[in-house]
Amino acid sequence: MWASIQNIEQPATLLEANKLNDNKNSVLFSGGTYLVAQKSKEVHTLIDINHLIASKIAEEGEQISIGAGVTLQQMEGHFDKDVIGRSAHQSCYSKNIRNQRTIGGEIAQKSTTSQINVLLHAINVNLKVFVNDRTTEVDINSWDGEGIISEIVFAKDRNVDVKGYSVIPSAPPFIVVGYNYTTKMCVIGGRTNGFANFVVEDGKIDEAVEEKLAEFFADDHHGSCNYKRHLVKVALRDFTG
Amino acid sequence: MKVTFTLNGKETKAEFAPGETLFHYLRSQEIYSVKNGCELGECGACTALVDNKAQNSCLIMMHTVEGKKIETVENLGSKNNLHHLQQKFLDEGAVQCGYCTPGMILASEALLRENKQPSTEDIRDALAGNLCRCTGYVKPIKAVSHE
Amino acid sequence: MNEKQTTNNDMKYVGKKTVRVDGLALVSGQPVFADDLQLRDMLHIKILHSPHAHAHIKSIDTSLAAQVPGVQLILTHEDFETHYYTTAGQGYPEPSSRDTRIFDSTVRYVGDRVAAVAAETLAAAEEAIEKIKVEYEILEALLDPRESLTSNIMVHEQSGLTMVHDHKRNLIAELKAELGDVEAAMEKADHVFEQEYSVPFAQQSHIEPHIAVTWMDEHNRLIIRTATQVPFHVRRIVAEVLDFPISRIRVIKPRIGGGFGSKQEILNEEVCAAVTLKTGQPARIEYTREEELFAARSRHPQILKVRMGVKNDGFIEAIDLNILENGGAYGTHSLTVMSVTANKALSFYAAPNKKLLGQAVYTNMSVPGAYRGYGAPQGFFAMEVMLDEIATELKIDPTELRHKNYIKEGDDVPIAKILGEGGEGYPMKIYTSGMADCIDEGKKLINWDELYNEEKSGRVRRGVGMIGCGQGSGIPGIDMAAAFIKMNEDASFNLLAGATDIGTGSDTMLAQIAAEVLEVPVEKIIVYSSDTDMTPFDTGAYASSTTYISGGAVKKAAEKVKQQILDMGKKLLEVDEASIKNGCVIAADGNSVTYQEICTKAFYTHEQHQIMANASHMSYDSPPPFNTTFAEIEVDTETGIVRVKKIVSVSDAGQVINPQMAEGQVEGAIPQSLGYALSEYMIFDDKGAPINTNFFDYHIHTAIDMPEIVTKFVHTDEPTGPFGAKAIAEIPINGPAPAIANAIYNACGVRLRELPITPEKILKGLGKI
Repeated sequence: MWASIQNIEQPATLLEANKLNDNKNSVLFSGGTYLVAQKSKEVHTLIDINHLIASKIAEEGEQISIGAGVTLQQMEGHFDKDVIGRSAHQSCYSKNIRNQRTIGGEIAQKSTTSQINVLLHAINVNLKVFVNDRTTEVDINSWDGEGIISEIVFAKDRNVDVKGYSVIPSAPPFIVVGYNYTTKMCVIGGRTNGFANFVVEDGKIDEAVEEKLAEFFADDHHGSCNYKRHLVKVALRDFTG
Repeated sequence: MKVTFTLNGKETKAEFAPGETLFHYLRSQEIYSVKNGCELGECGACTALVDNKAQNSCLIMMHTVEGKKIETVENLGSKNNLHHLQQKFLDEGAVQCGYCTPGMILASEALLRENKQPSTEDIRDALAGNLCRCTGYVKPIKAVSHE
Repeated sequence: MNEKQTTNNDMKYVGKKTVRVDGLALVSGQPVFADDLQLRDMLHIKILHSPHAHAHIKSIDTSLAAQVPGVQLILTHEDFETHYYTTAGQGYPEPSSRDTRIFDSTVRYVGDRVAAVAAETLAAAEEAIEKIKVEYEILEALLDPRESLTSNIMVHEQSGLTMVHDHKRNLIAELKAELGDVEAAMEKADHVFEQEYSVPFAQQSHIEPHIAVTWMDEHNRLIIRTATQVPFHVRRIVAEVLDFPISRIRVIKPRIGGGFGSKQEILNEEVCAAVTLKTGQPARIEYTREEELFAARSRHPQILKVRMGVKNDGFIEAIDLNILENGGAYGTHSLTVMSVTANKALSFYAAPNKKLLGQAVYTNMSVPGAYRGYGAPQGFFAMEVMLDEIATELKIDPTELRHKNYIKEGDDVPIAKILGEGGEGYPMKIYTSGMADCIDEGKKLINWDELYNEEKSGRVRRGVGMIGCGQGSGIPGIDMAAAFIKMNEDASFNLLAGATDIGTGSDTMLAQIAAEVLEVPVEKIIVYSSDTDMTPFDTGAYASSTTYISGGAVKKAAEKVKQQILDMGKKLLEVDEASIKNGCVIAADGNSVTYQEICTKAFYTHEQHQIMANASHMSYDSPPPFNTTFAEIEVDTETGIVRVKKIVSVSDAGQVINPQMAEGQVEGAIPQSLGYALSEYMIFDDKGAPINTNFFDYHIHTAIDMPEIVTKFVHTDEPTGPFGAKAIAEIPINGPAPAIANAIYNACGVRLRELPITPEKILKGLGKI
């Protein structure tokens, strides 16, 4: 029960949804697990946009586009053994929840423990985002979090990988490292406050990156900052051989 | 608010408050096989089948079930006529306290509907969202494997 | 000591697979759990928990909360007289500290109870809780048990507490014991090993939360339907706390969704009952998962210093054990958990000289309580890692070192007399031990000789580790169970048992025992447990007591009923001698009378009476089951991450009553201990607030985390147990954690003496960071 919810809106257009969302006691709703994050907040109005966003994966020529309403389980099914399918699978231990969590939700919530989300950042996919009154396209690393994601678009040809580290396989990883072999971009997530990304030449971390990571990682029960930096280096060594 | 859907094979019209979840609705209808273990989508004790897929009913808002096919373990078998998975869980000793059992059976059933001959890995994966503290999953996995 | 009982070697029901008597209801989703009912006018209760680790409540303003529509009652410390009790669901007088009030004006940990709201809807109760205004005087919090004894912070300043050793020093309980002369033995020993070990707070994590429903029945009696392991203790303690007569309380234990010790506690029943008594309305209280993880109970953390004097050949001459136990804010189970740590750890090895100093102390932290194993997992973690260290140092195979030192059949266990349940215990002797077979079987099943000795190289290293351990079968001289059996005219029997099936399968196991004695199929035994109005007394489901103690009661009651059947049969056949076979009483001349005829005639026509009997059972023995656990693991020496590949658990539980259910007990205990080793521990911030209060952050094992599990039993025939049985429920939880620590050492040479084992600790041990 989400007792604070007093009404549910099902707007006819994204434009209408955006307007309704200006109210501070409103939240956009697609899928279901998103609500968990909102449960402690005083939400009065739920703006259901399920019917406004695509839940299909399309491949056209060299391009793949994934509707924001596609579930992790759909991604796993579609991409199967590919790194996309594998990371969608590893983003959540529960198949029940992979049936419910959507890729749009992963991105919109900036889920840092989601391996697929880290991977999409490493690919630097484009997002089709409905902001104000129109759809614009922006790359995921530049997106400011405003608007409603409707689609994720990227090239078929990609050379990326991701690794997550957790104490037992089902536990959310405390470090996730994504790596793009083409652009040499490394993206770090996990039990972190946001993502870190940087370019790595020859699989080696330079001093500036070391410093950036020192600020990025906190000492906590998952491990010290020092240990986490070590793990990133191990991951990069594993990626680049 | 109102919604029409199929619940355990019967067309059902439900009236509900806007914040109501499928989990609460089912228990209010005395379908007690869905259990509360966390209400955060972490434990799977409230599992229901939604269009043949296992989902956590505590995360499903009632208004989203419009037109959907919802099933609980009551739809698989009854006391007088157990479903073969229910029988398997009994025979293999896969039931201990039984609190997570209906959810596990539904997650298993969803798997078997899409994959008649799942590997052990497939079964583990399908059951991973259903936390159990009694069995260590050994016998539940066996109960599904024998299918 | 119990009389030696004979064991029937061709048993029909004991030792055989039997489908659970409650299984049909459970797989078909019947409304059998505490929350599976709806009552008219039911009030929903929410608790306001303290956000502070230590504070005085200066004032509570409930006026705004009371205005929330639907709110019926708000309870605070102002509504109750000062009365100290313990929430521990133990026998009377409880060996736990009486240091708890139903609501208090001082809060002592983050999660402590401040107020309760009862409202017509859960939402109204939740809203009202937010609107209670509490003014706190925040006090300095004591968050390190090492500082408790000398700190100037007093967790319990108040007087009037009982069963507290010295509240001014935050000392809940102190235990001292010595056997032989430890210091002299250390002097003479060839080697003295000394190390410190520590284990954290860990959670039982049953999937069904604590849930209680109360109402007044048509006779104005208070009904408590609750998820408990101890219905009779609930009745007694609620009666005491609310000053309400026992005669007007009925506690019903329905099916329980797991307990593991957590429900051996009067956690919320007294609040729920208070609401019903004050309003006359039904009431319901259910903990959320978050509340379970910060305001329920957990495993006692301990710091264990172990010193062992050992001869060159590996024989242990002396053990000196020093325990510092973190009792949290209230002393529930503190003394007895610590005494179990000492008793089990010190009685498993036969060393002639033993010494103990145990101190349980208060802190302003979460309240630990009973959790499967009850002190033994803490003790065996320290003991068994040290044994591995000794084996390494003396270059003796760890399995051989156990063979040399474990206590043998026929040995006396003098430490058991010194260390009883919080006081002096009873003399103990080992009548049966399958330990030798447990070790040898386990070695084979894990492929020990090859894996232990293989060359370790490469990035990912494989290792194996092992441990040995014992437990008990009930609490000697304290646990008591009773059962009542009556016969029906179709030769079925109602078995009414106080024993509390909390998902363990005890109803089925008891039915098997009754069936075996009465020589009828298990389906003919209709089990009802447990209900304080309907069933006789039982101390409850804890301390691995149900098979041994409750099973003993059922066996006695069934034997009495069987004798009555035989006597009635002889009268009907008009003979002096007869025997029972295939549901009939048969005379020497071949004439026979069926059970059905006997009961029917007893009901209606001949010497009319009900064939029925009751029996009580207790024991001054508590024969230890034994276990070895072997672990095979892999360590990634670059990341420090450990993956457990295989666990072999071999147990001597005497004659196993139901092999499939006994396996299930072992298979369920293993992941709890895997979690204890690697992923399950409560984390607190610097103000004493638990951080990981959901399953996203508190990682219990799922189906994808499980290693290969191999479960095996070796047979012994315990003369004091029903049909030769000993206990099985707790013992398998002792082994996996220390076995994993030992396997990590075998794999990569890193010795870990502190749980949880984290990847960083391993890398530090390897010198990589």
